[in-house]
Amino acid sequence: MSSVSSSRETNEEALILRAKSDPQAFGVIFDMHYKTILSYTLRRVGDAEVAEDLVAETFAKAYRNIPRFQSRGTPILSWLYRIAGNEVKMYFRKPRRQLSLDELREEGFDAPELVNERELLNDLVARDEEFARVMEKVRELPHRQQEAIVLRYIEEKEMGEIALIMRCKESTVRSFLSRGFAKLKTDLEKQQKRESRIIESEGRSALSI
Amino acid sequence: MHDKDIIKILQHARGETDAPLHREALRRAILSKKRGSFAPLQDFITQISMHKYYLSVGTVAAVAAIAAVVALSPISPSTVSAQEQVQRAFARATALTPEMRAEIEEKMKADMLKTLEEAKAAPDLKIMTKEEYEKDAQFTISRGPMGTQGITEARAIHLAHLDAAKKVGVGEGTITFSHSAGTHIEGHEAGESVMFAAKEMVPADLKGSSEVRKVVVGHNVMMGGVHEFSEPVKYLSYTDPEGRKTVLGLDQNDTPVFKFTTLNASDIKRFEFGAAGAPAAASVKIEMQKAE
Repeated sequence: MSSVSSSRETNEEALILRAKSDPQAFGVIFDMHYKTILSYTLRRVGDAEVAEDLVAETFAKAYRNIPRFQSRGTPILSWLYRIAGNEVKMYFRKPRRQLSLDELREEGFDAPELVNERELLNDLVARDEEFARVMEKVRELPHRQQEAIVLRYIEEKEMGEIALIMRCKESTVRSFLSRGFAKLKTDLEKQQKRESRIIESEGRSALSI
Repeated sequence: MHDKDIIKILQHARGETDAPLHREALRRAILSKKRGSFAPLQDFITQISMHKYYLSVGTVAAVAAIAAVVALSPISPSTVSAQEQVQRAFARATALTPEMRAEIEEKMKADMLKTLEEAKAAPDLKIMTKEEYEKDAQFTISRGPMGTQGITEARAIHLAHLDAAKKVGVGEGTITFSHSAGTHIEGHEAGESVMFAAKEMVPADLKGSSEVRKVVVGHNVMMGGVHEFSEPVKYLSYTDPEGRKTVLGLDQNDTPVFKFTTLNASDIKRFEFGAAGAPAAASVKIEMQKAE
């Protein structure tokens, strides 16, 4: 282990220790990782509104549970990824909350600004059509395979870290990746063929007219 | 489709995304709660979720709520109006492209959204008229880029040229120099912002026996070549979380274009001696008092 990474770990451990009792220290962790977790959830769900919800749930749970968090070599970011991954899984499993109008009237944050910000985020997501098309297929994969693919190819995590986040062996991660990727490739090829057939038949219709 | 093509598409989406308003609101919501009391935080999460389901109804409800606040609340209408002004500035700030916002923030030397959050949370937030602002500030805001080299740069100003500095306020042992003095200093073009060092600003009759009483440091992007942004036409004043009086200037489109902060006494010494970390300033107002 290099002295730099060792010192980083020591600093992180000290920060985690402080965050167990000091909200401001948790604020530092929040500031360090908010964007990463937002980006991750946004890619996973493809919708800014849902992603913001899941990020809020993730950090709320982290804040509540950090006093019981024991690092044991798990970086705090991996722990946050794990919570966020569970939130994504739960989101895909259960229907979205239905909320009452009364709650909206309680004091708090204003809607127009947040909506505006979300629209900007959604625009960003929609801009990369190719990515959106691939991610649509990724989301059809079993949850563990989705998670492994996103962590490996988008979040650029090493196998060891993915195993930590997913709480499984590296060999299991490899298996998720290999099976998931094969299925993804097949699904994309099928989609391509389907699209080609549609274009062909539209071309024939146009000619016959 | 090859594996490497799929990987390339996935990799292309790397990079971080930010939602500053959500980030700040969530941070505040989480850190303001005790770990055990999560109902309010849940309310917040619930509430921000609500907006997506009931936006149109929500907008009507928000308007009704504001009307109710104006009608029923002991809070003065000017405070409500200042809050509305902040909301409009928020909307404008978030509508800017990230590049544009970064460009303005670079010139303001302030985080636009953080400043607006500060203003929103300040209990003494109020709208200031231009006249009130000018009377209070007692100097004309200058223009142009300003170096960020700290006090060292200011020391390059020759004392001789300070004779041209315009005194705009004298009385009660206090002399306030106009910031526009900078326009008379050799080596600086008319209208260019100049940083003043308190020690160099001490005129002969006060030299050696004066102390700096007040330093106002601010930054502005007015007339600084930033797109369509013009000079501020609206001013909001508030006390920041560190207890410093702050003025936020908004242009005619409600875009925040400058922020001026009156430093606390504890900051002044640091500024005066130009220690590392001294604030870089685009405009500085200095008041000196003759020692008894």
